[in-house]
Amino acid sequence: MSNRLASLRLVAQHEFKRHLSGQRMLLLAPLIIFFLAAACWGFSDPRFTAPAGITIDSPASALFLASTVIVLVCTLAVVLLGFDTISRRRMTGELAIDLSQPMPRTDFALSQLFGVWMAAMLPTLIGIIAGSWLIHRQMGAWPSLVNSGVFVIATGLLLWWYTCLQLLASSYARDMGSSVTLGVGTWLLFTLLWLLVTVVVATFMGVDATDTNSTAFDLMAERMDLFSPNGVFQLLLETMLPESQPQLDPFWIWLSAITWAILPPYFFIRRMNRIKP
Amino acid sequence: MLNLHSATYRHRLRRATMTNPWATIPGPGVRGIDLEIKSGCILGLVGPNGAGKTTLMQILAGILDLEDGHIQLDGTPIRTEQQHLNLCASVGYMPESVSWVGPSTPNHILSRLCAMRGVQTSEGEEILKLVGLSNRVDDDLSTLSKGMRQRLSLATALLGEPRILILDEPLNGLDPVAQSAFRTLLRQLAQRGTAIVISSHSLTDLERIIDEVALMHRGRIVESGSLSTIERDLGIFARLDIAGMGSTPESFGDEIRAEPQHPHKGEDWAYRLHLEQGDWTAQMRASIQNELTITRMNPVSADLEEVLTAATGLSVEDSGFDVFTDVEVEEDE
Repeated sequence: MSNRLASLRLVAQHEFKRHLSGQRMLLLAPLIIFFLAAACWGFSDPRFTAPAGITIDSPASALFLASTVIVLVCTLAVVLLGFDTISRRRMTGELAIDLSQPMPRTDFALSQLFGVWMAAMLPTLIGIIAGSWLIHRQMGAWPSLVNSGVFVIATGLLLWWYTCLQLLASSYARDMGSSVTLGVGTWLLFTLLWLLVTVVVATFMGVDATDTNSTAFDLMAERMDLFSPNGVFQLLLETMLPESQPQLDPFWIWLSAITWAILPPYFFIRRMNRIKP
Repeated sequence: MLNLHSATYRHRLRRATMTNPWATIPGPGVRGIDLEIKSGCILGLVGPNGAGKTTLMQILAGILDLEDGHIQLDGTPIRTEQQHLNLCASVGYMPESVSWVGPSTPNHILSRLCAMRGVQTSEGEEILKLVGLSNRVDDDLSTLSKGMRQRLSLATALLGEPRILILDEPLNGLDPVAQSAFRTLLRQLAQRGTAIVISSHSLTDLERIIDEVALMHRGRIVESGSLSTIERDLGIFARLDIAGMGSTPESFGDEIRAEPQHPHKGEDWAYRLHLEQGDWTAQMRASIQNELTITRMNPVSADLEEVLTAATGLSVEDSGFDVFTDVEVEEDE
């Protein structure tokens, strides 16, 4: 068992280093760090007025607003880092060599997931740390340890979900173009189109989607968010904001988070156990 | 060492229907393969494109799971995951033409595979030295020539000192010197007891190194054994190309059929002699040489098309080769 774990860790480290030293990372890492730091700096500026009556009166709320960068930039970075993880190896013939090694395919699949996930997490963590320091500079206080912890855990989970979805897409894609299209398509669905899906479902359920102050629609939207990684991420962060607590019981939010953390990797591992080179 | 019994595997082909867009049907593959891979033996897998060589090799390498039949390693059937991992640990697999692209180096690739095989990274460095890549270990993959990439593929197969080597078209892209070194390396490995399975489209590529050959066609092994036995069994070995000067001979004997050929420069006549029964003996050759002024006398080895058509009873066109007949070539010219 310890040998298996050691192999898994070593292969994941190789993947992590490969992604970290790739050309893509040269562009993505500075972008992630810059956007996160800039968002934290801007949202914690006392002169900044947030739209829709959102009040930014604590480091936690500034950090919460900066999470939009994670939803928009970091998730896209995962797609761009991971789209060719399996599909490229499959096309070049390297996958046949990988699959012929005496390493359980489950371990191989996990090592690929961890490699991409860690590569996306590293610049994100640096961005969060830099952002927290900038919030401290602007507001004179650090985000609390609990807030920071939940923020990092929620971010880690979000990037893990996207890593699983992207590598699953990469394993099914017959060429790299299809792989990136599947990944970007998934990202677009959850990032930009999910509100439309929510409105359609709400209308079918008889909930008025045109009334933005409707608590019934808010509850409906929160329920729908349980089926979207971005939605679960936002709900997890909202549980830490006293002024905008979600209507849903946190049990359901955490259950959804755990389900998202288990189901996509399960499908990816199952796929890798059946994949043909 | 490694045995296949009634091994069957068929690739799935997409056949979308109105009700099921992901529907598949069984496609080509291998059927009812019985094969024994012996320690220290070099087995050549020969067959045309689509014969099932790569599929069979991927079964032997533990990449594809059998649909029917079973595979045994040292007499133990492969059933559990641990047995499957033991098979993978015993086998080194070199696929056909790995592109080796992306931001990496031979050293990184080998050290990653060392981690997957659970062997020391230093072993990877030694293997790179063995295949002649010691001075390119830290070079970017994009700077490697085709032959060097082929050597890198070979290095990945040699990692972990496997007892069985499965090499899919390993000679592709190697220059003649590298091919010769490669054959020597294979011989040395075989002498140390490594079982080697090597595939090629061409018998001439393999005939200098293999001990046995398995001839594949449409997913089945149609002939197997030593090359000379197969050629003798099929009656295609007993041929001699002969040319000379002076008057054209009228006959070469009762049991010899003479087929006229185009003489080379400086020759007056040329024939391909077919012996109806048996092999050419030294006496028979000597008697021909005594009677005529001979400039050239070479035994003709069988090529894949001939062996295949002889083994299957099919014509060259039926066997799936896209070839020109002599008539078509003349018309083109």
